[in-house]
Amino acid sequence: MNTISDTFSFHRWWLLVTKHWSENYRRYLLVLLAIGGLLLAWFSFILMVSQLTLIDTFMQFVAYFAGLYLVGCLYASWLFADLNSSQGGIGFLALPASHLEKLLCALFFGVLLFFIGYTLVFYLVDIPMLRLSNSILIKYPRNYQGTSVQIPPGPLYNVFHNQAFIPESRTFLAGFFSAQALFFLGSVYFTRWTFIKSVIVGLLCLLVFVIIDARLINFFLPSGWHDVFFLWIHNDADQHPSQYIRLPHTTEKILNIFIAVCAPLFLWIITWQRLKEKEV
Amino acid sequence: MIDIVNLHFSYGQRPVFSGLNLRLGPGRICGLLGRNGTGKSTLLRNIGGFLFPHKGQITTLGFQPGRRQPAFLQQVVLLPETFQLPPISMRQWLKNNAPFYPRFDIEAFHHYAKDFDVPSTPRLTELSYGQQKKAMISFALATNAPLLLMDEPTNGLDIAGKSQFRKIIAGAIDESRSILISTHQVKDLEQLIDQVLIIDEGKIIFDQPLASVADKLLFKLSFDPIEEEQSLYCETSFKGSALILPNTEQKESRPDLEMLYKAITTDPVTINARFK
Repeated sequence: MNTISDTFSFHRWWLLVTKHWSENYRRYLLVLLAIGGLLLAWFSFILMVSQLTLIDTFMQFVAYFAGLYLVGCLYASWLFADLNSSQGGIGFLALPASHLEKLLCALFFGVLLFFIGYTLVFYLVDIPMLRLSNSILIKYPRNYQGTSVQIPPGPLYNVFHNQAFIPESRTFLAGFFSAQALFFLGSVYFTRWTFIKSVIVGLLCLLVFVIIDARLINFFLPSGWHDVFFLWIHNDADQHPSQYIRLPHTTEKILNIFIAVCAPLFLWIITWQRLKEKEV
Repeated sequence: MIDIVNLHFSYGQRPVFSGLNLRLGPGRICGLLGRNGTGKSTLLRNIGGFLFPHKGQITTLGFQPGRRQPAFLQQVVLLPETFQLPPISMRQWLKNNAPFYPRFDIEAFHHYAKDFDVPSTPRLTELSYGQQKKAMISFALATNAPLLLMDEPTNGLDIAGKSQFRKIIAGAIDESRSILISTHQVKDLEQLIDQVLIIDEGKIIFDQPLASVADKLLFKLSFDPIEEEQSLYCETSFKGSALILPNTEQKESRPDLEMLYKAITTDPVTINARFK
């Protein structure tokens, strides 16, 4: 029978954390540098080619989430990469720590530290690039296409708050932890091509969701109404949205919490179980 | 220490063990011999909790290995045939890994590493495969774990390294610990092991202490055709015939593990009959 100290000991977990950091910190610093470099290259490219708003909030939103999802999921797939070979797998599983401690160590680096590190690097690049973009706009004012309205300096995108024109911003943030949890599970569940297989499973899940959202829910809606991800819109005769129904604020909040907390928690628990059952 | 009852294990449709039984007590250096692909590594991984039996029961040091509890992993150390070491210094590697083993003896590690002539390099990955293996063997021994499982430990070691290995292992054993060594290089374990296990076609076909082998069987070179006829196993060469004979007169001889292995895999029934 397992005792609590068999399942979790803070001392052993901390030993795992220090061991993991000591063996991988160079790689982490390089990855963060690479992310910073790529963001810098992307924003520089936008500054060079954009004829209009240069770096606006939407551009920052896209850059932040594209990088977060791509690198975060790749990183999640890599954290249990040792399990893909018998030599690495034995080394990993033989270390005298519980499966829960090993999982929590991976989550500490893969979820918490990665998210903090990525967000810090993003703002380290984003803030000076946005300042540069705004200074260009001030020095060389330009108007919105076909109007005489001057483009104002762009505000800094806050990843923790919904923006007026990106209402699903926080849902994207919440969804990231679920998506990443799926890649964690994939890296333990599959033995080869873990990232590719996890992408396929993720896309299949998304497809099922889209089918339910677009087909099943629309089927039950009255004529002229359609469903847009927890938002129901009624189009007028010219196909312009005339009315919309949104879930109550509390319900929407609960759904966000479910996506952000319950779904990843559920997937992490499955990952823990799979880790216990892992054979190498 | 190890108690295996009716072990069944297979890789997909390919059965490896079908009803394997084994009991191993403390204070032994046990040689697990067998051809390639007979399941030596699979058996070690089942004992160490890295593979799970499909049927039957394994108890290692009173633990169910498959649960991989930390207290179990502190006491059962598996040295796999191939492994990965991180690109860090040995000092850092010890600092990272030794605290997981409460009985780890750092002085013993340095002593073993010195005996093995493991050089000091900025990174462990700069060591050759054989040197890395020596570092791993030193680490495994320094954990003072009661049970060490070694899978082909002499693979990759040079001639001097094999001799050092035998010397170090012989010096490291005491009544509280056992070492189970799997190998197909029988000669490497001569004068080291005190129990012989031979595995073939998913079953332990021979399990005897070496003292008992020396007691019941006589290993000798002979030109005598009568002795050749009486032999349980015979290998002819220009130097005469190497024979395994029933040791009816309690003569002393040094068991030749390679011959014993060949004799048992050729005719296990006849050889085992001498031990009943």
